[in-house]
Amino acid sequence: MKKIVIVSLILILSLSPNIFAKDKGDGRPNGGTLSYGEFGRPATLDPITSNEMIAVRVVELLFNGLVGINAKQEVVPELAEKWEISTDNRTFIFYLRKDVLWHKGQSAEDRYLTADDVIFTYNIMTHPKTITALKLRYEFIQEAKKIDSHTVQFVLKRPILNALAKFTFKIIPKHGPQNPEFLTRDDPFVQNPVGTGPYYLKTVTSDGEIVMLSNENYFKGRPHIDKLIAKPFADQNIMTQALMFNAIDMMVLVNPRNIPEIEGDKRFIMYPYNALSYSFFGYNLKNPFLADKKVRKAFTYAINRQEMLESFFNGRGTIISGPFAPGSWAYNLDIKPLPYDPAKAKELLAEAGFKDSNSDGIVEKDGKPFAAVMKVPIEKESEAVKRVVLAFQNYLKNIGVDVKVEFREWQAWKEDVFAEGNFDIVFASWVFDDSADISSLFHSGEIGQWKNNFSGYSNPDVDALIAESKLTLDFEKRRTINQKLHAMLADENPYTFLWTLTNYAAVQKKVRKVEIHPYKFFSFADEWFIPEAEQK
Amino acid sequence: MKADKKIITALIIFAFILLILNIASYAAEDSLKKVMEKYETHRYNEGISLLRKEIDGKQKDELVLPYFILGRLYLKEAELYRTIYESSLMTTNEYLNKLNNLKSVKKSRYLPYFLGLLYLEINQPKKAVPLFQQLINTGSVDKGFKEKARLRLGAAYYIAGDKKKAEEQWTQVSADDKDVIAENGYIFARLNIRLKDAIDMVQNAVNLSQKNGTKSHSKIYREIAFVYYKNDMVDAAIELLDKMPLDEPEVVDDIERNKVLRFYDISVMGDISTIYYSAASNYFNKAMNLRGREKYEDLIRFYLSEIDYRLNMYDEAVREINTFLKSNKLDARYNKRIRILLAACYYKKNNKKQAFEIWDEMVNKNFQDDSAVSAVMDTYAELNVDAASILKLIEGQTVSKEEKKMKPYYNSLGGLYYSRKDYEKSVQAFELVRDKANKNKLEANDPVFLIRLANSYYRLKKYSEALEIFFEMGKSYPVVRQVQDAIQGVYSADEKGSGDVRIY
Repeated sequence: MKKIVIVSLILILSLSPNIFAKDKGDGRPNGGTLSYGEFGRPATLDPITSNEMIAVRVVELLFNGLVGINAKQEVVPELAEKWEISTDNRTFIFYLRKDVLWHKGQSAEDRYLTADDVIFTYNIMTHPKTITALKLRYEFIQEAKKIDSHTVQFVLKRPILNALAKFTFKIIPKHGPQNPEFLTRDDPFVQNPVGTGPYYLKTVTSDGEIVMLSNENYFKGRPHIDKLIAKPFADQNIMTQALMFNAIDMMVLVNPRNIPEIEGDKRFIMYPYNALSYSFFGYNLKNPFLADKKVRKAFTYAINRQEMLESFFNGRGTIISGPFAPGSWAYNLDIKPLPYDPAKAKELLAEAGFKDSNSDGIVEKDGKPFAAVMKVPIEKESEAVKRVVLAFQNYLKNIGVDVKVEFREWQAWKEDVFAEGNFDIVFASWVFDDSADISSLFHSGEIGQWKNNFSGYSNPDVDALIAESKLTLDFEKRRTINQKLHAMLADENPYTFLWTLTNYAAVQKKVRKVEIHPYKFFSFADEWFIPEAEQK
Repeated sequence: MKADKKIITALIIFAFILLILNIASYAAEDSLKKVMEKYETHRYNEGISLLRKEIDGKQKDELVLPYFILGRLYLKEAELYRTIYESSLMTTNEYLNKLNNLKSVKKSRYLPYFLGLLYLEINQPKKAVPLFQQLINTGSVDKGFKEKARLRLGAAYYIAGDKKKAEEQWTQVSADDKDVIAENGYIFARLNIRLKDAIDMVQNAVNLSQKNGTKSHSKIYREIAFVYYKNDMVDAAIELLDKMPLDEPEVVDDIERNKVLRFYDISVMGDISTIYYSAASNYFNKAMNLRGREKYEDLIRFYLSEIDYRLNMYDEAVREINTFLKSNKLDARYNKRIRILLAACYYKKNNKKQAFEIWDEMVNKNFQDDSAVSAVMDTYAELNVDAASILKLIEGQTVSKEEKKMKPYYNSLGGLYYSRKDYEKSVQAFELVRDKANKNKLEANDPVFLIRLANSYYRLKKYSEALEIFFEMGKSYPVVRQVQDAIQGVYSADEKGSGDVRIY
């Protein structure tokens, strides 16, 4: 009888993983809350439709990929516990863990990750009606096939460089989206995502705070910190004040102007993380005036980037010359930023056929004055950003171009830029992962609603180089191609490339074992902890 | 991680107090102040340029202080170039080996040559021999390049101790190409043999160049400069170096459409460093021969002993140190630091027991003297001495001093961790030193420190951090281009991105 009870107990325990949480067993305490400041609230919280940095950070907490990248830049198992790669580097077989539970979400039922979820994720992200940047990124996959309940096979169209690292894409559950075929921003799943990650989504408050709780069943062991809250701020300065007054415990990105202030405060530790990012003025090439390269180049000559960087960011950054960050392997060191030269700018405008015929200070072409609308997201309405766009306005006024600046709420800005193409000029920033892949920004195939080539830039030579860089297995050839792209785009000026700023996160000292992923930020957050005495 | 860096950094404060006091009474006060500003903002090359213009036409009696400052500026430049050189050896080694290990892609025909040069530079001549032979047997390489490879092959044999085979190679080289002739002279100078022949060779190369009016690669001038230096013509060497572009690759190989590789002269920074040490020594010695030198004598001896040590002249360094110890009227801390250097000389002369006696005494009796402990840490790091005992002492200690004052200490600690390959701790310690608001700016951070930090990030595969540091440094020191290129190559091969990009 006693034996039967024990066997039954073992059976119950093995079938009910929720009864006992999986502790990491590293001796570090669990508990506490970490609230962090974010630049607004993301439109969607799923890994497929989201296209902004805020979402990348949240998604990293909620989901996992088949493989992950550890702090030593090694590919490590995540949802797949092991894998096999064929000798021709085209077939990848992933063996899934059998102990991965989906977050419960609305369901009361325990559901385990299976091969069906992986196949579902692949199918939905490549479906023609799903609006996502992932489609282009994963076009190299020819086929995804379920081998058995916990084994999947991917066959590539061709071998590619560092293929294994591409399988970091996040897996979503088959039972997640309402529409089982494709994912749109209307699907409830994008607001109430269910993942496998170290944290699950508890709620999004009416103030836009994203509250996430520790996943007791996380397959790597329960994360130490109980609760993470992402708090949106419309202004960097207010976020800094919130940190200083203990309203938040962490800022994901310190305004460069505030670095000395926070550095001097013993309560915080500043962590550098070198995201490959840069800011730019992007031009809508559907505007016939801006379609002329001479005009765009004139704009670049007209603005004093160094002066703006010094005046508005205290020089805490670097002027760039092209579409890559200086910390990237692809940056072309031979291309120098164009100098500030308003005379040259005027000369180029004149060459493009612009002339101030009525002496009102604004140049015209074919009787039409040169006026342009610049759209700036309101979340960027920090003092420094305001100054940048106003300075831009003034610089262009000096060469006879009338720029009207419109601050727009973040979602409305994205609608205008990505969906409607309703802008002439934008001020924004891109952030890249290590692959420094600019294809979605400048390939003509990426022009269209909710795609990244919102400028509408199209150049067959650039398209051909991008295609070639995707095909090569030679990392040096890829580097040469990207450096050529840098040179070409620096000359073509679809953007005025501005600068890359100094990146620091500021974290309360109470948070320990902090390691930050330079792009995804929270990749190692399950290891972070707060000593019991300092837990709120 | 070098001992002199921190010794000098710690001393600099005291030296500057002396200097600034003197600057006030100097006739060309403004010019010297500008030079000192360049020094303090780590723009040593600009300081040198300003001061050299300033001293033209000055009376001898007015030159003690300018010579002293020039000595200091060249010493800092020498340290900086040595550190960049070490960084380049590390990154180039990994990069070239990655290229060499590539399968099923077209390799550069010049790769064996540059790998061979690297092995010569890191004193592994036997590995270099087959690589130079491979280049010589490559059909598509031009004759001049093959001749240079043959000269290097001879050098590899020579360093490996086979002088007969070396001669066999050298006698096969025909002497009608100015680049080959200059290379020959340079190799002799590097091997410290036939220095007279070397100078004749480079002179011949210069004459041929003038006669033919053909353009040469800038490398030839660096080679000539080194031969001048070995023949005690340091000023002429520096004059040549000043005119040389230092970021130019030696070979740009268009391997195929859309694949270009750049190969650089790996020796250039080591050579420049050596020449600058020598220039520093010359200026210090010039100052020592002038009236009014008295107040600088001890400091100059201190620096001269450092230079002797750097140029592997350990007996001379020991003599200089002993003279310093007898006559020193400076702060007692100088004695401690120079004794640490003395121990390093003993260590290099294989008298390890005597070396450890001094270091142990320094650590155990002077534990509260951070600068002494820092100097020992730097020395241990440089010499790769087992530092377990000192780390045990340090790690058990709670640092109570103001963090800012502890920066040199953390810098040394970072260096020590780096030498022990504990790169995470190395970065942690270095980050305590870094000016976060101006994290890559030379004005705010000692460039030698920045390179050490970049090296640590590189080792942790945080390549973009390292690249950003070198990107900023390249604006003042274009020579770092070869390090940037190597890191970019390694990063491109290792990157683990999935192609993600987001608007922000």
